[in-house]
Amino acid sequence: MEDMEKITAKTLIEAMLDPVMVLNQKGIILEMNSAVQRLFGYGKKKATGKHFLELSYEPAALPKELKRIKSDFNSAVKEGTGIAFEYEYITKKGKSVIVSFNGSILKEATEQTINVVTILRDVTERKKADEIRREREEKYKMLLTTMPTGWAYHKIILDKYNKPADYVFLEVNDAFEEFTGLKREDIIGKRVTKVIPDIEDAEPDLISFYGNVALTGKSDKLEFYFKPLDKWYSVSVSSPEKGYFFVNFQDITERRRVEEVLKESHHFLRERVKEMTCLLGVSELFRDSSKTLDNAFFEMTDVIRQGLQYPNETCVRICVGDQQYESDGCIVTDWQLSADIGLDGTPMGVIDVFYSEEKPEVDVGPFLKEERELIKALGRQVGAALERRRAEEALKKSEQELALRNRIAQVFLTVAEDEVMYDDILTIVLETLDSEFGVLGYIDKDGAFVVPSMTRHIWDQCKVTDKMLLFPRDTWGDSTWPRAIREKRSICQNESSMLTPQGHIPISRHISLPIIHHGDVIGLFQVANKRMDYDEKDVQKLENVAQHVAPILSARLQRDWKEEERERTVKKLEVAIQELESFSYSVSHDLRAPLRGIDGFSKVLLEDYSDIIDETGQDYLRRVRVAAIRMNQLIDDILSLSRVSRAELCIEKVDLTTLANAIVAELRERELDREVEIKISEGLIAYGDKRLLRQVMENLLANAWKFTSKHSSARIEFGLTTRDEESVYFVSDDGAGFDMKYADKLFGVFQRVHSADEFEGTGVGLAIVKRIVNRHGGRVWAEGGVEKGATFYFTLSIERSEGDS
Amino acid sequence: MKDGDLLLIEDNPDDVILTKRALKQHNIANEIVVAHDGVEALEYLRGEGAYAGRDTNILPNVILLDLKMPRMGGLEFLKIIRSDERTKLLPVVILTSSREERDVVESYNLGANSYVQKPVDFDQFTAAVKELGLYWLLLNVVPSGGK
Repeated sequence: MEDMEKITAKTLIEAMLDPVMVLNQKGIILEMNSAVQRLFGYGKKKATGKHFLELSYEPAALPKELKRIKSDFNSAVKEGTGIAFEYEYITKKGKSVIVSFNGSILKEATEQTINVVTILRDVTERKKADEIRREREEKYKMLLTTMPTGWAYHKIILDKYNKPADYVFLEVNDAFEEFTGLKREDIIGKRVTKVIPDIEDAEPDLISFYGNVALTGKSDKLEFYFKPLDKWYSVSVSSPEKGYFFVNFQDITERRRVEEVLKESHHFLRERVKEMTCLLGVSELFRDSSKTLDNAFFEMTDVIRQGLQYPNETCVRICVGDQQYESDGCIVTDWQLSADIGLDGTPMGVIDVFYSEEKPEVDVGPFLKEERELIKALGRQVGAALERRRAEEALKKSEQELALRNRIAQVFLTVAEDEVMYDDILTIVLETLDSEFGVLGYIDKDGAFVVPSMTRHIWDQCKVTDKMLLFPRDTWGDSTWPRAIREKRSICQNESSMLTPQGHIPISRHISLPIIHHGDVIGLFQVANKRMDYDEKDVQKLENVAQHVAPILSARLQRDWKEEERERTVKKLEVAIQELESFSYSVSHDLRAPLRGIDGFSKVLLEDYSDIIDETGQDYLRRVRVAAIRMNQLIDDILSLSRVSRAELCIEKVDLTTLANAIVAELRERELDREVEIKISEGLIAYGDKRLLRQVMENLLANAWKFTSKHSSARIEFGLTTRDEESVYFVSDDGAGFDMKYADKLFGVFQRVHSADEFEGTGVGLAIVKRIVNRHGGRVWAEGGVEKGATFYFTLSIERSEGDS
Repeated sequence: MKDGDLLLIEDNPDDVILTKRALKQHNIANEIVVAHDGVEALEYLRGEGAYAGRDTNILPNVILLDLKMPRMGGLEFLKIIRSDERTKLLPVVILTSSREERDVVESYNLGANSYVQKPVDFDQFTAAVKELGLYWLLLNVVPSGGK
């Protein structure tokens, strides 16, 4: 039976396709099938009796490995457990084969013999594949571990409804640890709900999100803020197999923070830009002086709206004084932001901003801190602008007043004709006061009201026959204008109650305003028939004009009166001059004729009747002639003196040296026998009237000639000297001279210091010299002594004149 | 010499006598017609009034003209004869006591041929008349229309 069993076993072994060996307890091959032979290349005969590890052509494994397997085998035999190991063989053909051994212990009934039946399997291919996979996994693991993005591998856990309820950490990398702050050893194999208990309540619901990927296999991405870890993550999730998922993620907290700050600052800046634009826009509105304040305020409501965060939900209302300006479709709500218009002090108005959405329960308001500040700033800005505008308007007004004043002054200064002047002033006033009709008049010296100007074309329409322009005081009556003059106040009437003569154009409304200067009414303005009623402003305007006009008008009237006075004086003078001239004329003509008769007939007597008139009679007749001729000389001199005073100066360059030489030559000609030494300086040039200067030189030189005539020899000099830094001409002689006592009498008319017996002359010559020199702006004086000669000095202040080179 | 050689227009009888004497003394003119003012002189030239019927073809060779005279003065007279075609070329010498510049200027402006001032000194007066006579003689030689 035993043998039988053995044979049956052998057959059975042989029949098996897998290699099967039967080993004894020491590992010696007892039996093997042909599949083993195919595996190792060794036949049954050769193999049987060898240790199963010796079937290798040469030991492939290390002795240590060999020893471990032997030990495993021995202990398996001893304990009766199965064997399972792998061992690398080198086959007979030198091929490396990895063989796995799976055996069980067969105990004989006697329990003396223990055999091991083991099935061998060539696991070379499988082992190689394992090796490759293992290496690959190592690599991946390395990659995953070292890659900079966080990585984790999880298994999803479903609840009883097959809904994802949790997940388990299977693997994580270093970056994961870093990004999450979780330690690998604390979490691997653990449920996330245990690791991060808050995850179930956190947004987003990561378990559902991951679960969805794990169950559907569809990859997904998400960026989210993970509150439990206070971090921002960017994750991409994929599922390698159903129920599992990888999470690949980055910690983007920093980036998000930067982005968030950027976004915030962007918004901040945009709002600030809006606010700045708004401020600038508003300031622009008020700077544009061509825009009326009304328009500026109205446009401002919209400019403010655009400066706010929610222009479409906001409306703006501005109240200034009693004016109110609203942006389009303004709705007043409780959600209101207000600011006063004005700088420090009393507000000029208020800016209100309303937010048109409903007011929420919590009153935090839709308005930003910046907006509140913006509105406040606008209030101040508009206040400043308003003050500036008001100042500008005041300035403009005063400029207009100044311009008006200038126009009036211009008229007074440039227009000479009275009528034109008053007309021009009136025209200006009517223009200023928008009036159709007007009157400008003054009070004359006799107190009458004189109207030199009235709106002509209107006045001409008047059918008043007596267009009287002068109203003596007793004709004034009691209408408004005399009242205005008498009461020294303006009278403004806006009803046609004014008394007008029949035919006078109707006066619907008017102002009568006296022109007052130093408390006296000197004139009157009347303006009438403005289309609308006259008001305080008009009276004020006219008052201003009157104030400007008053001093000028007064001066003009004074001047006119003075002018009249002056004209009268001039006329008187002209008459006097005319009389004087006609006197001179008749003197020169009428007085000479009898003299000529006296002289003429004396001569005729001397010539025709010398035989009957004795010597004494003839002497008398000769004396008559001398006297007549002398009188003629006096007449000539008086006329010449008056001519010198009247003649107009004709200033030119005069060569005094040449002049003096010519005069001296004439003098010598007359008295050839005289011995006179004459010295005349060269190049004496003066400016003056040549004819008159010749007369000066003539008179002075003739004087010198005359007063040296008693001396046997004489010396006369003409030259230029300097006295007190002033150029002074002089004519000196060494003749009879004069007593300095009489020095001031020398130049008087008909003043003589010598008797006519001594020296002939009328005593007018030096008076003429003085008059001519004076008319040339100069002075003349004399120095001398009795029988010590005389020196006459004179200056000429006209140095140069236009037209002379 | 013929009628109207010289027309003396002078209102002062003294001056008439003295002038005539001087002229004669220097043998200048035989026939001297005297008019006492401009009006009379015009009558003479036109053959009117006291001179009605006078042969007006006979014109003086020279006129000695005083300026200041009653009725019609010398300047007015000069103006009238200068505007008359017949007499506008007559030589006229102003003989006057006026030394006024304006008289001199005005005289020449109105077409006086010469201006002589009557000196008070009779000797000078005679000399002036003599020169005047020479002037007249010169005019006598040159045809009156030649100037």
